[in-house]
Amino acid sequence: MPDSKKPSFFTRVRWFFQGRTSTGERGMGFGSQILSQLFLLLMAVIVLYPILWVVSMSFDPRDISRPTELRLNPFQGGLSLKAYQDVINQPTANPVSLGQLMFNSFRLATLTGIASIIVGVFASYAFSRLRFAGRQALMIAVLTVLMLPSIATLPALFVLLNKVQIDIGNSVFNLRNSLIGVGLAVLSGSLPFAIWNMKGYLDTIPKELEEAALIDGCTPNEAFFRVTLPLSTPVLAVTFFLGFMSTWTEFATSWLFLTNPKDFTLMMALYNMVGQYSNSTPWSHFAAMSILIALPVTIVYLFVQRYFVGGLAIGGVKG
Amino acid sequence: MTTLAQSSTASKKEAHKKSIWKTLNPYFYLLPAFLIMGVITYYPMLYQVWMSFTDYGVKNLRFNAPLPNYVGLANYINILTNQLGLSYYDFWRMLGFNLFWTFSNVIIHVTLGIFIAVILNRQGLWFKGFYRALYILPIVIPQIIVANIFRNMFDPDYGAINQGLAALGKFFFGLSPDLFHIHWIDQVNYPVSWLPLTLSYYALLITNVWLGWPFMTIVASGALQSIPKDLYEAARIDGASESQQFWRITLPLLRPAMVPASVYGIVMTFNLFSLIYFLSGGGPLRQTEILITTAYRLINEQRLYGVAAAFCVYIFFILLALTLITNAITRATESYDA
Amino acid sequence: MASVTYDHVTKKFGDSMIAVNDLNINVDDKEFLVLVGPSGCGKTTALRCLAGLEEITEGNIKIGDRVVNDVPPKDRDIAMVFQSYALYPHLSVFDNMAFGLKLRKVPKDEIKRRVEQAADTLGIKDLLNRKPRQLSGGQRQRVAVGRAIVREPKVFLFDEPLSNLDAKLRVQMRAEISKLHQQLQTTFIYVTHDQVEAMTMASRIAVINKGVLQQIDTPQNLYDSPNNVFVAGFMGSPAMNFFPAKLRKDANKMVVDTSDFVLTIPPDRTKPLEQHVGKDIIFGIRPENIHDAEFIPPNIHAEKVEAKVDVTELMGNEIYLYLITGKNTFVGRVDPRSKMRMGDKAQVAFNMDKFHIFDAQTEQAIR
Ligand SMILES: Nc1ncnc2c1ncn2[C@@H]1O[C@H](COP(=O)(O)OP(=O)(O)OP(=O)(O)O)[C@@H](O)[C@H]1O
Ligand SMILES: [Mg+2]
Repeated sequence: MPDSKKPSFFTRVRWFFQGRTSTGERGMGFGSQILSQLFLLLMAVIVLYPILWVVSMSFDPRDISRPTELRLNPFQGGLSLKAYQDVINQPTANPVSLGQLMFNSFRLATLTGIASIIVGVFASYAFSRLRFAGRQALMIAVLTVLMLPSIATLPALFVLLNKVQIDIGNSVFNLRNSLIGVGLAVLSGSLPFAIWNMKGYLDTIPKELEEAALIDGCTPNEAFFRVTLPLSTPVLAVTFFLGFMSTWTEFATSWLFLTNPKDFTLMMALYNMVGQYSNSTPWSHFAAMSILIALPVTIVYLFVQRYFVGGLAIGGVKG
Repeated sequence: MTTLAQSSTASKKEAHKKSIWKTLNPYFYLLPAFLIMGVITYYPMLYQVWMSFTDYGVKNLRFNAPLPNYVGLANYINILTNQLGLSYYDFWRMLGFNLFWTFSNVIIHVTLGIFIAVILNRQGLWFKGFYRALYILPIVIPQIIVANIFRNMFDPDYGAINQGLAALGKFFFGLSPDLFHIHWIDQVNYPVSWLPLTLSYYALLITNVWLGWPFMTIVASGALQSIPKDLYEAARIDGASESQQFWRITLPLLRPAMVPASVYGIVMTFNLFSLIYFLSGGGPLRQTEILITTAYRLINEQRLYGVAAAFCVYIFFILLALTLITNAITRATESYDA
Repeated sequence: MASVTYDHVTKKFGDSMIAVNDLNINVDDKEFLVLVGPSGCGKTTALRCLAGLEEITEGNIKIGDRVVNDVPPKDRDIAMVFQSYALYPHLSVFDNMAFGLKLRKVPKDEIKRRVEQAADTLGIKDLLNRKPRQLSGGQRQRVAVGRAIVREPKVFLFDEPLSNLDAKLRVQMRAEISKLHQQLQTTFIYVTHDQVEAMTMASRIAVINKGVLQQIDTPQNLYDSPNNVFVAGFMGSPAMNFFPAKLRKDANKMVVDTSDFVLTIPPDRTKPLEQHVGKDIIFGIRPENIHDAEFIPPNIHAEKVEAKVDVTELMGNEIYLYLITGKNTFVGRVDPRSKMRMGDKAQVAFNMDKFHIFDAQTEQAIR
């Protein structure tokens, strides 16, 4: 551009209405602009409506079990935190607090997430960088599990974990009926994903960096720990988060394995609120519960999603 | 002289030792992962194959319980011949539904995704950033929560969908709101009599389209942004109309990104447990049950572990076939991209 | 401060791909050796074998008197500058340069002193706190060199360090690396495929083709008396002109007979050629030894040849003439006053004191 001055505010406003870009290039005509806007706005309403609906229900002040008219309450009717209070005190008929449920889910998700990246990163490094006999076969072995949904290995996991039973005095510890057992079953599915996801990233780190480290005085293993590992922190974080997310919302395994309400997870409680025996639960409670479960992960997701948009890693954890 | 020779053999031994460590080194990196997966993944997978030939059931669960009986291929045969004691269970219909479910979803996701991406990519569009940010939401909200929200929205009496339809009907046609108590989830009759799909299928489809298109839009947007602008300028100079530009330039250049995304979408949708289990529960009368939800019911409700194991072996091979076929199609059409 | 020896070094990838074939090179202490050759000829592989990044298949590599075949890279006391620079993206410039020293447990203040001194030498003192991604290509290059020199290694290895820089910066860095070599008084081994870099920087050049060493000598010797057709054609730009020809004796004169023209060989150079009379040879002459017949420098044995001017390129201080005689095309670098233009029939003169003759079969120089 010969004139490097920024266009004035008025010029930019004019361009905006003429459908030009911020550099003044020709854009779309007014008619198609309006049509596009109408369509995109409709999509925006469709995307937003269910979310607003559940949010407004959670603040419903009337303490009724079902909404009787179509309206978004915050805009009429007023707000109440009662549903949240009730849910935090005791979300289901089971005598457990939301805190206890959250703690269970959090423990489960954090520990399996950490385990999968710590154990997985070494294997992904081997697959990405090292050459050894059987590499192909082992990669296929990982991919096979990756293809399989985690429910497809539940029959055997249930039966096998159920066999690990320890009698301690008069109490009995059954591995299947414990959060540790659920963690192991979840890890069985998330580890191959973690390995594959991290391998894909390690493949993009130039080999020269490690070679430079070798010459600078590292042994091959030191080069991994001092150069490659620090450089893979983004993928470690993303993989951890995806693992966390899938375990945080895991339902099938925990519902099948756990019988003691003290061990229940958030998703199990949610199912208790909406499942077949739930007719007495007011929808405001369900709505508040949904928001309490979804809000933390959604916020984190919004912050980190730009790191894995583009790659297929998004949502690529088995459900 | 001798000392020299000795030291050289010693160093050779040393070197030999070193090279053994070097060849073993990769396996040390693999050891933790494969040790764990060996115990909690591969051994259970093999064990499951063995289980699939037995009548493993609740009676065999207890500690010190007797081994289950070998039943040969009985489980496999019973699954295919619908002798599982599950009411309304029909394997072949379910497999067909599962595939139809998968492809009807992915086709809509991809079409809608590309359509919206193309609009969002147009120059001079207002509020681009706003729409892009907003359309992320269905991806970031946990699926199970979405399933539950929609389950409530599809409620025949108090759900937002029926209430919304009632409001619209009243406003435009003066219809009585009482007409709109549509039983989205549990109506047994097919709404389109010649199509064997219940209303719950449509409810699931609506929900999953709500969930699924933004991902395809994101993938397509990324690909669109990497298409050089001068291609369109060249096409305009050659006299191509807007629609010709779309069919001749945009679509072919989107292919390399959309094909893997679609394959991924196919596998994910084929196994979409949480949505179906939470929204329709497979109902009514198992009309929206898919393989993976049935497998879960066999374990969780029927507690027929041997049968469930055989069922999962089927799932494994069906998925293998699905992946191989989609991969083969992808590869066969690859040369077209050049 | 050490010599480097390649002793019958062979490197194979797999069973069939021979990247380096029976390489023998002695690099003296404090020497600046440049490895040149066309792309894929095995230069990088030869360097990586010395660095210990590749295991050699046969032979020995010595640094000083020590055979280093089984010594891991970190114990070879070498430093290497990579083509892609390979700066650690997660470390600051300072930490990049200090990395090797920290690993060797050099005391903190010593590290600081050395890094700052190197940064001073290279003019990157202001950049020490930046991350590599905040640097320009030239600055990254300097940091990569800096990381090598703080280590004070016995041998420096460079793998095409300038190929990612623009032309101007390349000339500047070339001079700086030469200066660095003089300051450090250490052995440099430098890989490039740019013959200008090779000619200007090297104390000796090793020319490699298809994994085989062709010739190793000082730049001037290599240019003046190439051992074979490959070296003759590789060094110099525009490249040497080659004419397939026969050596004949006409009366008392020895002549080179291309099918298009005949050139008399000056009597003082006939002696080594006697045995090849009557055989096929390749006659080679560099473009600067072909003159416009109107501007022949004094005191040379000039032989005139008729040719047609195909293309002329004016370079300012000289003119490149692309010439055709019968089957042969060749290039002359002539006096800028030359009036020859495209399409002209022209008389050019070959300087018969400066030609090369190669055996047509073996392509080896005859002298
Ligand atoms: N890891 C490897 N596996 C197999 N072949 C290899 C490997 N590394 C190099 N080669 C082959 O060895 C030959 C020499 O490669 P090398 O990198 O040494 O060439 P080079 O002279 O450095 O070329 P350039 O100027 O292009 O950098 C090439 O033909 C190359 O394909
Ligand atoms: Mg190279």
